[in-house]
Amino acid sequence: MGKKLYTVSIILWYFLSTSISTAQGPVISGDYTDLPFEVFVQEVEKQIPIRFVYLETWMEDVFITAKGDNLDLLEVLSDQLKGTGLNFQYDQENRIFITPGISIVTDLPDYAQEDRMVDTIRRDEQVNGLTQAEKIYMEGRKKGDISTLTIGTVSDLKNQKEAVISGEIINTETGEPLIGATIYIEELSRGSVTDLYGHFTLSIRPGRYTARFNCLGMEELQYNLNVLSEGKLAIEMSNKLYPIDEITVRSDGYDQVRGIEMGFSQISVKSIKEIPVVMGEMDVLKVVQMLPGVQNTGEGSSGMNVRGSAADQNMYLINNIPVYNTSHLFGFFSAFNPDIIRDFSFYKSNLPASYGGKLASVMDISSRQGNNKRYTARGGISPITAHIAVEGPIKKDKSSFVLSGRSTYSDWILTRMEDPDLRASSANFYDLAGGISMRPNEKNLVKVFGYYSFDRFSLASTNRYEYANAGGSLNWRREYSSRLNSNVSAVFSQYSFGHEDNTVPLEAYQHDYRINHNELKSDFDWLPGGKHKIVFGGNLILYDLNRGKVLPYGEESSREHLSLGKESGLEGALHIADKYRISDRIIVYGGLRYSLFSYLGPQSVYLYEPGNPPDPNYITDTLSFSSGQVVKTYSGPELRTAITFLTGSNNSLKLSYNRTRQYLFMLSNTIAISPTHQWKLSDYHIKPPFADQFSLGFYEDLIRQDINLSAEVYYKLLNNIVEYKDGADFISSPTTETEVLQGKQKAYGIELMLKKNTGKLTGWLTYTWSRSIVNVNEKRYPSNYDIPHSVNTVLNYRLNRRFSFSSNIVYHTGRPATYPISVFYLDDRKYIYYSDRNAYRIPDYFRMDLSFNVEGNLKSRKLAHSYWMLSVYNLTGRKNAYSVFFEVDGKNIQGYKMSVFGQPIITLSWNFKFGNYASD
Amino acid sequence: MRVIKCIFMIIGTAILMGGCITPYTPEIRESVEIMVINGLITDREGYQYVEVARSSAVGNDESLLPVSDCIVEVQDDRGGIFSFTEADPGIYASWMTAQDLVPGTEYKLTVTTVEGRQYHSEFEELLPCPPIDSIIWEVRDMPTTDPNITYEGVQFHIATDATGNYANNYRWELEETWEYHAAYSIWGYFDGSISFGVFPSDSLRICWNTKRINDFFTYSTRNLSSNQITQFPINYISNQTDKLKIKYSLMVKQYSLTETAYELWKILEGQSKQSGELYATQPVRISGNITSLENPAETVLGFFSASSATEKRIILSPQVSFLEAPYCLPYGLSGDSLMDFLSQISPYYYPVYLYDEGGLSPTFDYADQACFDCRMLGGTTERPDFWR
Repeated sequence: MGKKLYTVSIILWYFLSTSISTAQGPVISGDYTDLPFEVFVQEVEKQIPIRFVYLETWMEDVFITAKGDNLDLLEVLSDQLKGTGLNFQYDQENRIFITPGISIVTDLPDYAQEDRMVDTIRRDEQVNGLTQAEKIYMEGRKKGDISTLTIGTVSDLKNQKEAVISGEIINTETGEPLIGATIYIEELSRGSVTDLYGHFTLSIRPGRYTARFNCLGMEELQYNLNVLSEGKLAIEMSNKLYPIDEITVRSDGYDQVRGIEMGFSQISVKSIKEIPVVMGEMDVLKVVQMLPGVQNTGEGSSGMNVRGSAADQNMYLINNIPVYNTSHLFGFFSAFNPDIIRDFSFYKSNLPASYGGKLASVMDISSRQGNNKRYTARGGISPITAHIAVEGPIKKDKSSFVLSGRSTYSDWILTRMEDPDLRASSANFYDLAGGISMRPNEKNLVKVFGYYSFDRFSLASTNRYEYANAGGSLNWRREYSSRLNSNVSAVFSQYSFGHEDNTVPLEAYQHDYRINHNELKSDFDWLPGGKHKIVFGGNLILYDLNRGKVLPYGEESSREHLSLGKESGLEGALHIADKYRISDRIIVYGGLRYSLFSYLGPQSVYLYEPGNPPDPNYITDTLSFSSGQVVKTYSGPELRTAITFLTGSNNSLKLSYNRTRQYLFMLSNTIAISPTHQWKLSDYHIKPPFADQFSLGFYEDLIRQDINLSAEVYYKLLNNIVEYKDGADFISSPTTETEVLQGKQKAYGIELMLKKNTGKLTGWLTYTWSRSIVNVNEKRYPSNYDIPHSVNTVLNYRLNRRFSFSSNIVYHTGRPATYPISVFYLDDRKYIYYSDRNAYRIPDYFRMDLSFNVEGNLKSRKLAHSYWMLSVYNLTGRKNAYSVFFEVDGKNIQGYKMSVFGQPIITLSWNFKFGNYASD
Repeated sequence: MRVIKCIFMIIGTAILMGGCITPYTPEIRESVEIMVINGLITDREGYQYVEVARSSAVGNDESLLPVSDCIVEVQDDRGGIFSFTEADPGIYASWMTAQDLVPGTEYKLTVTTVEGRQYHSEFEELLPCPPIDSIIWEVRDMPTTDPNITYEGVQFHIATDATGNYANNYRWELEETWEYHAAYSIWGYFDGSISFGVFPSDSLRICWNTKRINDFFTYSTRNLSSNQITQFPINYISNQTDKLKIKYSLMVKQYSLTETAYELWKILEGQSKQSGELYATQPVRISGNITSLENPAETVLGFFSASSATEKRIILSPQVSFLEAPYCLPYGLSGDSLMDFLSQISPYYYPVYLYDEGGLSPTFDYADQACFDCRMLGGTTERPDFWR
C-alpha cells in the first residue's frame, strides 16, 4: 500500500522545574566586559552544570562582553562568536562544543517528528547547513524514527538513584486513554502497563534507554529515553492503519511472558469484531467462552463455568458496576451492547488483591469513554436487534460523552413459530448505557457512567417475566504525585425481576425480587521507589435485598401470601499488594485482602435442634434481631501471591496461590441461569464459600511475540459450596437453610494455548483437560459442568484489507447427566430408577462456525465506513445435545435429545461507524 | 415451574425450522435389580394389595419381575396382624374388614423373601380423606403446531374442600368410560353363505370402554391460603379420539398423602415425563419408606401408605365436533360383484358383516369388521351400571 501515514506526535511536559533543557537554553547571570573566553568559561561552569569543549588555541582572541540576569548563554555565545569563524553546538548532556568552521552534529536528526522539542540551538545558518548535512547523512545511513525523549532535569539528577516516570498513553484520534498499553524498556527487559485510565508508572535508574510502546490496534512507537530524574510523559498513539495485525484476536495487551498475571486475558472489542457470531450479534461473553478453562452453561446461554466453578462465582463489572444478570432473552445475548465496550480484562487464576467477592473469575469491562475531539457514532443491525452509540466532546479535549442503545424486534420471529406456546409468546429487550468523562486538569479524571438493561418475556399467557439491571458509577482518579495516585468510586447496582406464573390458575402467583448493591471503593497506586509497586485500598458494600412476596395472581388463585423476607449485609475489605522486582529475572507479587461480612438485621432466625438437619420439624427457637443489628459476621484473610521467573529471554515460569471468598450466592438448582434465580446472602446458617487455587504456568513467545505459547496447571479447592436438596423450591419458604446443603468441591486441570498474533492467519488454539468434582454429605459426584476435554479454535484469515474469513471450531466432552438404569412398576405404571448423579455424559459437542467479512472502501477521507458480516453458526448442522431427557411413553422409556441449534444458522449483519476504516 | 420447552427455538428453528427434540437412546452400561415393594391400605372393606417385584434393566425387555413366595404381613398399632397371600405372581392380597380400616389407625408392612431377607416400612397412619366437591369440565380449544388447526376437547378440573382436619396433599387416580358406536348396524353376515337377521339390531354396535388413565395427578395445597382446591386441572380429552362422541364418564378416586409420600409421587411423576426444558433440574434418585432390615443402605423402591379413598363420577355429552373415521367407508360393492368378492375372502376373516345401503330394495355392502362390531375397538357391549 501507499505511504505510511504516521501521525505520531509526542508532547513532553516538564512539570517539575524550569530545566536548562528547555528551548530557552541555559541561563547565566553576570556582568562581563571583554572577559577572556577561558575566564568566562570558568564563571559559567561555576554557575550552571555545563561543560565547554574546545581547544584553547582557537579561543585566544575571543573575549566576551555581556551583562544582565537570566542571560541566555547560547544567545550570548552566538553574539560573541560572530565573525570569529567559530561555531558552537550545545548537546543534551549540557556540553558546548566549539569548533572552527563546521559545527558538530550533537544530535541525531529527526524527520518524522515535527513538534517535538529538542535541545538544539537554532542558529539559522548553522541549522541550514546542518539540514544539508543531515540529508547526506540520512541518505547514507537510515537512522529511523527513533527520537529521544528527555525526562526530568539535570539538577535533580545527582540525588536520584531511582527515577519514577509516570505518564499517560492516549489515542491520538479520540483522546481516550489506552488501557493495557505497554511500555517496555529493552535494556532492562521490563516495563509497565497502563491502567484503566491509561496511566502507567515505572521506576528506573537515570540513564539512556530504548523504550517501546505497544497497544492493541495501535502503531508501535519506539523512543530513546533519557531519564534524568522523575517526570512525566504523555504519549499519543495512533491507530494502526494496516490492520493486518489487528485482526488477530490478541487476548493479551500485556506481555504474557513478563507479566505477573496468570490465566489472564485482555481483549479489545475492536479485535474481536470478526469472530463469527450467532445471529450477527457480537457478544463479549461468547468470546470469553472460547478461552481455555471457560465453558458456557449451555448453548445460547450466557452463563459460564470458569475452571470448574459454578456459574454464580463470576464477577461481571462494567466500569466498576457489578452486573447481577448478564443475559438478554434468557441468555441468548449478553446484556452488554458491544458498541459501548472498549475492552475487557478477564482473570481466572491469580486475582489482584483489589478484586474480591467472587470465587472463580472477574470480567472487568471498560466502556468507551467518548471521543473528546469530535462527534462520532457507530451502530448496526442484525436480524434480531438494532444498536447504536453516539459520542463526542462536551468541551474539546477536556470532557466527552458516550451514549448507546440497543433494542430487539424479535417478536416477528415468535409469530412464525411452530410451537403453539411460543407463537402466543412475546419477547422484548433493550439496554441503554451512557457515560461522561471529564478531565478538569492533568491531575484529575472523573468518569460518570450509567447502565440499564431490561427484558420482558411472556410465554403463552401463562408465564410472564420481567427483569432489569440498573447501575451507576462515579469514578474519580486523582494524581497526588508521580508516585501516588488514587481511584475512588461510588457504585450503585440493582437487579430486579418480576415473574407471574399462571400455569395452574389455582396457585397462580406473582413474585418480585430485588437486590441493591451500594459500594464505595478506593484504591491507591504507590511507587515507593526501588522496584516496588504497591496497590492498597479498600471497599465497602451494603447489600440490600428484598426477596419479595409471593402473591396470588388472578381471580382464581388462592395462593397463600408469602413473604420471602428482606435481607441486608455489609461487606468490607482492605487490601494491600506489592509487586516487587527482585531481579531482572524474578518478580514477586504479594497481596493480602482481608474481607469481612456482616449479615444484618432486622431478621428472624430459626434455631434447629442440634444434631439434626435444618428442617421445619426441628425448630427449637427463634432469634430476633433489630434493624442494623449484626446477626452473624464472617471474615478472613485472602492471600494473593504470585511469582514469575524469567527462565530465558522469551519464556517464563509462574506460580501463584490465591484465596477468594464470596458472601452471596445464587439460589439455583438448574443448569442454566434463569432470570428468576435469586441472589441470596450468606446468613446465620449458610456459611460463605471460599476457594484456594494453586496455579503453575509456563509461557513462551516465539518469533518476536508473533506466537505465544502457554501451559497452565491449576488445582482449586472450594469449601462451603452451596448445593440444593432434591426438589428444592425457593419460593415456597423464606428459610433457605432448609433447602440447601453445603459441601466441598475440587477442580483441577491443565490448559494449553497456542496463539498467533500477526500475519495473514491469526487466531488461537486451546486444549483444556479438567475435572470438577463435588463432595456433599460424603457423596462425590462430577459437577454439572465437569467437562474433561475441550478444544477451541479461533482462526482468522485475511485475504486483504477488505475481505477476511473467520472460523470457530469448538469441541468438548458432553456434560455429565443422570440416566435411567432400571425400570420398575407401581400400580401398573412404569417408573424410572436413575443412575448415580452425573454418572453419564450427554453426547460430545462439536461446532464449526464460519464468517465472511467485507469491509467498505478504504478511502481515508470519508464520512462513514460500514462493513458486512455473513456468518454461519453451526456450519455442519450437527444437532448438539443441550440436554438428554426421558419420558415414559405408555410402556416404553423414550430418551430424547434436545438441541438448541440443530441447523446451520445463517445471518447477515451490517455495521457502520463514522470515519474511515481505521477509525476507532 | 414449567418454563420454556425450547426457548432457543425462537431463533434456531424460526429461520430454518427443524425439530430441536429428537429421539435419542444412550448406551447404558449398568443394570441393577432393585427390590420394589408397594402397597396401599384404603378404608374400603375388601382386598388390600401389596406388590413385591424387582426392577428390570433398561432396554430390551422392561417387564415386571414379580417376586413370589414372600411372607407379607401388615400389622396395625392396635395389635392386629393381617397376613397376605399371593393372589397373582408378586401380588399379595388380604381381605380387611371395615373395622380394621378406621382412619387414624397406623399400619406397618413387613415383607420376608424366600431368601429370608426382610423389609419393613414405618408405621403409616390411615389418613382421612375429604369428599370430592365436584368435577368440573369445559370445552376448550387446543392450539396445534399448525396455526390454522385447533383441536377441540374437554378439560377436566377437580374441586375439593379439605378445610378441617385433613392432610394437605392429594393424589387422584382417574378412570374413564365412554360409549361409542360402530359405524353400521349388522343386517347380515357372510361365512360361506349369507345369513340375515340373526343379530338383533345394535347388538354389536353400541359399546362401552373403560380404561384407567395411565397418568395420575398429585397436588399439595401447602402453597395455598386455605386447604381448598377450587380448580385443579386434571386430564384433557381432545376430539382426536372418539371418546367424547356419544357420552363420556370420568371417575376420580382421591387419596390423602403424607408429606413424604407426596414428595415421592411428585418426583416420580416429574421424572417419568421430563420435558427437557431449559431450566430443568437434574433427575434424582428417590426411594420410598421401606428399608431392609439386614442392610439399611439397600435401596428399596416403592411406598407403603394408608389413606381413605373418596370418589366421584361425572357423565357428560359435550358438543364437540368430530371428523368421521374414514376407514369405515363402504367398499361400494353390491349384487353379484359383492357375492363374487365375498366368495374370495379367506374364512379367517369370517364373519364378514353386511349392511343395508338403504333404498327401496335391500342392497348390501360390506366394510371392515370393526365398522360393525364395536368390541373390536376394545370395549364391551355390556352396559355399565352407572350409565344413565
